[in-house]
Amino acid sequence: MKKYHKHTPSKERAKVNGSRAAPRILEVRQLSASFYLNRKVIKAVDTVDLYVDEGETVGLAGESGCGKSTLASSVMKLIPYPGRIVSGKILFRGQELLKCSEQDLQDIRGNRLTLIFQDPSSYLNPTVSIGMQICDVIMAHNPVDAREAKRRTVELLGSLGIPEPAHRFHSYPHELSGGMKQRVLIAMAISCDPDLVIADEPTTALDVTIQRQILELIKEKVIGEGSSLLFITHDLSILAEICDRVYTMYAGRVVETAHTVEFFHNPLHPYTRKLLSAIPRYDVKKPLAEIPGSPPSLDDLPPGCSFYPRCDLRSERCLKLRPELRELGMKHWVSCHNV
Amino acid sequence: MIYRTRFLTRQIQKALVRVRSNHLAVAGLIIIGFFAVLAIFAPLIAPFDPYATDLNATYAPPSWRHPFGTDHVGRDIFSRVIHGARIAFAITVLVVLIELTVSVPLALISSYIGGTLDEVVMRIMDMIISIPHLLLAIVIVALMGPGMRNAIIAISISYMPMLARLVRSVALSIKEEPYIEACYVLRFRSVRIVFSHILPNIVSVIIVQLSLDLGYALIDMASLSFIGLGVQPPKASWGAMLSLGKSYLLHSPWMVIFPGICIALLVFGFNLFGIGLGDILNPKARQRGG
Amino acid sequence: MSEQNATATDPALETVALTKHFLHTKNVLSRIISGTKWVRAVDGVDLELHPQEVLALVGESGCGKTTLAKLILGLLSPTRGHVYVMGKTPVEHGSSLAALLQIVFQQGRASLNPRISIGSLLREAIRVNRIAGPGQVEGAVDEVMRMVDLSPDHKDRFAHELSGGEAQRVVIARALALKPSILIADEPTSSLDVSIQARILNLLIRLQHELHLTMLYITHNLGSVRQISDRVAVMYLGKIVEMAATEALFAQPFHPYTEALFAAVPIPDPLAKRKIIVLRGETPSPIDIPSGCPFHPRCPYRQRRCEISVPELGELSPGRLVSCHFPLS
Repeated sequence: MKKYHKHTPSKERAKVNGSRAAPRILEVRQLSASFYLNRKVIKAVDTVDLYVDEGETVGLAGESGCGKSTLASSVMKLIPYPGRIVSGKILFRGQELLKCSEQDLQDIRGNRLTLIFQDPSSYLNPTVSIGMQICDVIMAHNPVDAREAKRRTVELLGSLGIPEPAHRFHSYPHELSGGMKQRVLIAMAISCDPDLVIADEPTTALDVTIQRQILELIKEKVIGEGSSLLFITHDLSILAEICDRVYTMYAGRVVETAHTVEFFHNPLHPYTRKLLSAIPRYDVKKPLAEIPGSPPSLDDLPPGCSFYPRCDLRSERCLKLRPELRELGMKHWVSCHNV
Repeated sequence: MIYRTRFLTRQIQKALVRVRSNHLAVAGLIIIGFFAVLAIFAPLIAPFDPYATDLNATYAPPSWRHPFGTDHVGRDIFSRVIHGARIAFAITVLVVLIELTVSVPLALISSYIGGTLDEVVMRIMDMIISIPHLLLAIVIVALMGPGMRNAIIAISISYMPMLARLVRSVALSIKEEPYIEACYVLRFRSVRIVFSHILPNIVSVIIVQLSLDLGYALIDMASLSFIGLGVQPPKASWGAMLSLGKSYLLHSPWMVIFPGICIALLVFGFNLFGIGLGDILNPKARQRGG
Repeated sequence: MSEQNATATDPALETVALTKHFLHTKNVLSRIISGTKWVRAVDGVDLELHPQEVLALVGESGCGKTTLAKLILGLLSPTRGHVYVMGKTPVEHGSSLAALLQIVFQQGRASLNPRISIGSLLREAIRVNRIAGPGQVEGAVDEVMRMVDLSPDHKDRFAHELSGGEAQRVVIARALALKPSILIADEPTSSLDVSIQARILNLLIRLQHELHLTMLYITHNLGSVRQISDRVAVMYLGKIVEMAATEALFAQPFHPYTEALFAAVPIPDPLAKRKIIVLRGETPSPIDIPSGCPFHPRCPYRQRRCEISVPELGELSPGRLVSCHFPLS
């Protein structure tokens, strides 16, 4: 007999909770997660602090191998073997997720904390119609019967811009285009009116104009409906458009975080600055900055700052001592010795 | 020139390390190596001439003088078993060599050119493969006359379609890879593309299949010899020994036990090696990036 | 390489009404049941590239840009129309085309044979095309590796031992080893991280200047287009819908699709003014190209005429071509 979680819509929650000091939607404290392979230990996530407030949209940026996807799967406690969460806390509305039973986690995942993935093909069951997959999510977390679930699904598909939703209910994933599949994933993610949606590179594999469609959809249907959003991507430009605050990660650690305007107009960490100048912009013609060398392999990290070999602000101290995050402005944290 | 040989020895060293770390392959190699030593040094190790009969000591059970006993005409089974290793290796290696030199180029060329040639070759292969191995081998040997040489040819013919199909299917998928397309742009000729670019990527698959075929060849040969179509007496092949010994199973089981164990053990060794090799050569699961 | 009759202003690369239609399926039965369908991958493309010019070809997936590249290289033969490389078709050039025109593939590491060391790959390319004499091959390999900022010590490495950026540089090195005068770069940075993309782009810009290359730069990354190209052509469903000098195009696009493309790309500045244009629906499949203007089902400005008649690629002003009944201005 399934236990259903008693549920209040997120907008109402925001009103209620805003009146008193509420715990943050998501708080990650000193989280470390590593992968154990043969004899190598890969420190994918290294003492990361991150939070998302009620109704906030937070961006997490970094290039491949920086640990952002591992962080996302850790939050859901879905980190794949041979990965393990080593230490730290994850608080979801004050509830410690790492101490929860699998049963409790099942109630939270897909319901109050949902995930939108990068590659919809890998996350949709090819043998089940898309409508049924969304219904499954709805019925798992809500005390409704199949007919009601189907009605809600069709309504959801329609509101997400899928033409002929009643007909499309029965389609299989391979019959849909990339953009359509991503809409289905978004439908699944918002079907139970979640508190927090984590989107891991949801637009990366899509064409430019379809990316724009999906982005606008996320703005309208996730942010617009009051859910908090943690948007993970390597494309900083997207974060400039939708986020309230931004984090940058490098080699498993957070290196900078600030409010969006401050972040983009006054970046302080050498990596962030170079990264921002490396983005080719179509509105302005300017030379592109290069970062020499390549990211370190996560099983062999140097004792000091991981960015040392590629940094142009480096000093003796950086080689030996790992910098910690310091607040260098209004809510602007940077982990560097030399700014 | 020196530069190239240093590069090659480094490659071989890397390969050996990987082989050494795979326990299956090592176990297989030990068994195969053991029999190989027997085969190579047979005349030195075997105490008796495998053809020497001794009618005073027929059906003798295992003893110090004859560790594996003697057969119905007094030949020392121990010596015959050791010499049998020679024949076993000769057969399996020859079968595999013939199979390899015919199937692989044929499949490569046929899959690359495609079209009618490919269809014709594949239909011929289909015809061969539709007849069960052993039956086909029996038919061929029956037509050509019994004997080791013909048995080897027959068995390798019956194995060709499997290898050809395998090579063809892998070659077809490799043909679509971007690095082969790059060869067209660089205006490489077809021969170069097929043998220098496609073949190296198939080698691992071929080697695994061949090492397993070594085992199958031994069994098929033993089967043929068992029904009298393979190695003919008085040659000391394990299969022939089984054939001879089956009539005396009840009162002189040693005539059958020892050659039987050897067949089973060597096939086991080939299989272990083949499976271990498969583990080494096939791409392992790659780890995901953060 | 110069042609007897060619003059300095003749285009290095030219396509005339280039068309490539693929049969949807060779299966006779499905053709009988649902009729013979054609994938109109490239549909009447007229392009001109002048020596040492960089032309960017912009479009999303399915617009036909990779097919166009293959037609130019001679890997595919056109259904209609012609390709002229330095005045001759690829077929007429035969194998000497390789030393004239090369391509940097999109797939980076996947276009390198995993079983052959990168040094051997480069050596082979040089030797087979007789770029250097027998004793000088090694030197030529070293030189071309240094040209792309790779140390010749890495010659023994294999593709899987290289990072994405290094692998892409090997691909560029192999293309340049043949000393071509025309280079096609097909999405050379798409699978790479942002910081590596910048390096590869800067490398291409530098090489284009130093080696006086004529370049066809195929991409969907608009920002990079602005940095590297002299002119831009925008492709949609097998046709060129707009072509102009880079600065002119970015200052003011004339085709609604181009405008939508610009508006779709986010800008890394939270305070930048944005015009949000969201196109309706998805790009149609090249099997089922809409009647009239192929863009009309998604065009925010469409009118009756757009559904009925196909617009021609017309010259609005010198050097500015648009294929639209109601170009923006």
